[in-house]
Amino acid sequence: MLIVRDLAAGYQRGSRVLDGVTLRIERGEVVALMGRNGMGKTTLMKAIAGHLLDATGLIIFNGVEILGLAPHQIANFGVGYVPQGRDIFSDFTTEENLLMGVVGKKQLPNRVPDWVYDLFPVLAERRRQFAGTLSGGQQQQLAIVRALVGEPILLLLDEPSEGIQPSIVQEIARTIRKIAGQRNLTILVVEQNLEFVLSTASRCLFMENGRIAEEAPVELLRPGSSLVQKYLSV
Amino acid sequence: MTFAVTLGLDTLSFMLALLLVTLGLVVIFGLMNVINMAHGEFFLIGAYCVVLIQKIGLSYWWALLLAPIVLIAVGLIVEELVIRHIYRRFIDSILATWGISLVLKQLIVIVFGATAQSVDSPIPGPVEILGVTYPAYRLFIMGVAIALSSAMFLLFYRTPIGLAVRGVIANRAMAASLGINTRRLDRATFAIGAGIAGVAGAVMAPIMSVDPQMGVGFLIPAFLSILVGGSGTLLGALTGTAVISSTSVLVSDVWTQVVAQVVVFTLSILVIRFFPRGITGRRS
Repeated sequence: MLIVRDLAAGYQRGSRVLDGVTLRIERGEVVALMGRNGMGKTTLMKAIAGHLLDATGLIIFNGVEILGLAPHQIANFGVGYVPQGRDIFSDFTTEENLLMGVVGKKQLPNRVPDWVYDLFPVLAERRRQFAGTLSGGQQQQLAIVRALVGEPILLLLDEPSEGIQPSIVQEIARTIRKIAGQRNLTILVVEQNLEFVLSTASRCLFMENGRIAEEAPVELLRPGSSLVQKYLSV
Repeated sequence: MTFAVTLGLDTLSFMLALLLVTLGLVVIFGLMNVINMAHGEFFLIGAYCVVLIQKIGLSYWWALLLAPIVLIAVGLIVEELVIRHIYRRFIDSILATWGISLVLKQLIVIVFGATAQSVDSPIPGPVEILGVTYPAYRLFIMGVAIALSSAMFLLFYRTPIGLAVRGVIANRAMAASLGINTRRLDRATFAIGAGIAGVAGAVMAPIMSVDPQMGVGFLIPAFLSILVGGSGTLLGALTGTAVISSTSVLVSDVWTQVVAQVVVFTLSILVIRFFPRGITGRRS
């Protein structure tokens, strides 16, 4: 489904943010990407979504080599991207934000599919409201659903729990689990929140100094376990 | 009473004419943030489309068809050759588009000569309205301005394409990651702005002296309107043109044109000083 091999990229000369990332994700898997700040997690997500111009190596998605393609082409191959900080269109209404998820996809009709408002009644209530006035948790849901209406095969989620109150984090985790199951969606999620990872992912990759240092099934990830000590504690 | 009606119609007529000229700039400067110094020349080419049509001997109305087609083509070429390299490079864009402006103006001089050309009004004569007689063609211009602004509003705020255009402007990277071809939209948006400038030129030609300098006269008040009203929205442009044109007409009616210019510039400076994002702009 997704194969990344020897991916390298760097913002500055001398220090490479990504230094030979190699990973493989199978269809329908939910994989968490963990690690301390500055280890290259967000950069890796950007590289897969097509936002890094200087990346070298190999990224194969669904049998297609996507490294070097433009972001809109990658999106049209079925990669949905929810960036860190959500990047919702705050001056647009909730509904317009959702429409943004379909207008770029040629095969999809230009309207918000019905299942959205059934699944997310909060968004239905606020469909005419400017997205900038939604709470952090609602904005995060909006960003995820905006990606989902584009019918991706692979969803890239960058820190969905960031800046959101704990009760909402659990709700978002539940939604993600439900959607992944229903649609056989493959998800790669960057997350610092251990509980979130435990309740959504089946496998965890640890990133250190621009590479995947280790991987483990989530069962081994109890708070205080050696993996958590090694890759996450500050 | 008739004085008040005439003054009101004059103000409205100037405002809508200014709005017509400003509309193309709303798209290119207001929405896309490109400072296009060649916008006056887009307007100019639109006016010369009328001259050309008249020389061929066809009816004026063909010019209203020809002008947008020519200007959309010009817009596409200019965007591909120059503009796409200078998005988000303010100083460079001023210089580069100024260069384009010089080239286009000289091309016009080479083809049509430097002297002023006169264009016949397709709807000559006055009509009775609200108890005063008023030039019929000015009423036509007002109608075109209202129709074109409404069409633009519908295009940008009520269609999926318009949504995509606004999305690209709001957050280019995110829009691209949602599958939107930002490059193609840039091209189309710029061409639409140029096309509207062409229509404005063709519509204004019969009431102006058509010469290679005519673009400049409207370019400055058009830019001022957007800055005063607030860029990025049609409402801003509407407010801006209303402020600039009413000030200008009222003051020049009471005093002189020169005083009107001074007042308009002073007012613009004050507004921009105290409302940097324009009257309708949100303060950040």
